[in-house]
Amino acid sequence: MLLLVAADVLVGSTGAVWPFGGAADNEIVRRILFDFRLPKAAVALLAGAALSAGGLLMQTLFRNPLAGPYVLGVSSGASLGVAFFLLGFPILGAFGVARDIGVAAAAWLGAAAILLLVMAVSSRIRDIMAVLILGMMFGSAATAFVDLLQYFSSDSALKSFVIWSMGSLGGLSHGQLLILTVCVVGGLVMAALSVKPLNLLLLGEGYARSMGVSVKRVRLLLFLATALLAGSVTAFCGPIGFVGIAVPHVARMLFRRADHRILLPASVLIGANLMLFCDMVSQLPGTELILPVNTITALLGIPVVVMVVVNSKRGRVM
Amino acid sequence: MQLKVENLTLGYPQRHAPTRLLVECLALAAPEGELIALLGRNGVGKSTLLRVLAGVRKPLDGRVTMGGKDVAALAAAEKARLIAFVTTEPVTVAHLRVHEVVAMGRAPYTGWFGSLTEADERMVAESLERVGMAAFHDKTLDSLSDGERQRVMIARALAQDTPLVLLDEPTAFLDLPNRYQIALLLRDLAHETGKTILYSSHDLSTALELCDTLWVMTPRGVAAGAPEDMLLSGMLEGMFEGTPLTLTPQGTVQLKRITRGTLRVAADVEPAVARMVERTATRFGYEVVEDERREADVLVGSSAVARCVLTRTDNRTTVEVPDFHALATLLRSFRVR
Repeated sequence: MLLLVAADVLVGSTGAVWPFGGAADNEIVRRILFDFRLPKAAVALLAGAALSAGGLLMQTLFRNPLAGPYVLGVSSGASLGVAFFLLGFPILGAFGVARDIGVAAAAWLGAAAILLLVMAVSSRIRDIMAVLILGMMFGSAATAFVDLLQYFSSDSALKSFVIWSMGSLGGLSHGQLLILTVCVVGGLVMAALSVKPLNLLLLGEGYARSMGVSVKRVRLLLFLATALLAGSVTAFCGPIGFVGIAVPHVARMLFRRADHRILLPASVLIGANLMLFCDMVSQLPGTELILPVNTITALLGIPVVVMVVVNSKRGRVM
Repeated sequence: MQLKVENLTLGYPQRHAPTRLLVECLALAAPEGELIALLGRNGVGKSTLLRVLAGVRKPLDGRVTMGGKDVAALAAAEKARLIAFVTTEPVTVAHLRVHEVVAMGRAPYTGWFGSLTEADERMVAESLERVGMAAFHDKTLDSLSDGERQRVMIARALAQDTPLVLLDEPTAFLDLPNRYQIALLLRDLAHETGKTILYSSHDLSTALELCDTLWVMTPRGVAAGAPEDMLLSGMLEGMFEGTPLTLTPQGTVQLKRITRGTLRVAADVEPAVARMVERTATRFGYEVVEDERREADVLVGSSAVARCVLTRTDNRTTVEVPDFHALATLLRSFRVR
């Protein structure tokens, strides 16, 4: 597995756009490789791992196979947070590191707000499809707010937001990469610490509680982890869809297990690899064009989601 | 370790209405090593009581103690070592293996990662053995039948190694043989392991036959006693108040009769046929008269060609009856009174 990741890093970062020619020690090659390609590969790894882990946590937490950061509107919530920050307080967004941290914090708050809403709703409504639709509605509402904010904001603020929202895996400064790494590792550690309660939650809250799980505390921990994972990725890469929802299912299908001690590392690895792959494809090797990575993740993720919906209608949930 | 309930009040606080009380001032003690059935009608509060006993829900008032310790005040992990709970939550998780579910019962004893020690593994294997599911060890949960899945959930509760096991309607959705087998399994477990096992059920006949103690829950409270005591004292009747059902002294449930008339079977009718005639008559509200001197509204005699002959005493009309369906139709059509 580790070998595969390493191979993917190499392949991803050298891709066909950059012909690995004879002039290997050329200054330009080094700069492109280290300042642009390697950070980008690292971001792809982190984003894939974070979104997949976030998706897995949400699916178990909501007992809903169709939960995920993007479909439940958490990514949109993060966008709204960023929009508030960049459009509402453009002055604050002036300084380098403060701006990066501000964007990240705004995204966490936005993500957490939508998560809270969805959690409140899902405790009342048991129907997984209804929760899903409501999550989408919350997401759309957040997007609508973002549009409103755009309409009323100044040109320069608008410009910085639009640039952010087109965001891709590339273009992160070393400072931003550091913040992202800390957040994602933090979120993953929190997730890893909850594998046992996550397993018990598979049987339902009543069972989990009867076996000594303090459901409130675990919920809070998972909630924080999800907001941290999904929020920070959205903050720096923009909304990326369908990785979070699809990858845990790929892990389930590959390993045929429900144990989070297997599913969590599996999702993280598969997610990281998938993101690298998507990044590679999005560069359309051999051409000058670069596609938004969101397009590729959607094309790969949606078939998995469709399969899960069809299966869950036949009674095999998760 | 004994489960005790002191001065317990159950109910639901409601947002726009006064609190809905289920029962007040319950005082109960569960005898150790016995199988106890909690009986009562829908909505009387059986599940609420079980959830309060399990400590997953707080009572409105009063307390539940386990070996003298207040259950509500126990830390989650300590509680999990005293009380195992099999809930009604349907478990439908793909790829989840039987032994994984049972191993979850060891959760209160394992570390953060949930790794099993050798002793834990042995406990899991023994629990599966006890419920007769050892061969299903590596099967996935969604490939099992309802009865098998219930056994796995019971094995999980056993693996939790607690002196008290609570089960909320473990035999719902099961067919009759399965219901008996699960109750029998629970009784053997209680008697052999010394655990106190309390389960809620609607299955009166199984409970009467297999349980050591019955807890009968009505809005007035919970009455406890051996099945025979409960039958003799008429406590079980309380469950059927306001319904068209009554309890026979043998503990079977019967529809209250609407008396339509009286019927006598002549002595020359074959005994097997006579029994069935009486059965049909009872079903349609006829009182079966055996005394020859008493006047009956309907007489049933033997017949050479049909199964029997039916005669109405008021107008002396006689009908040959080919089968019991025809008999039933005739008996139903009579307006004797």
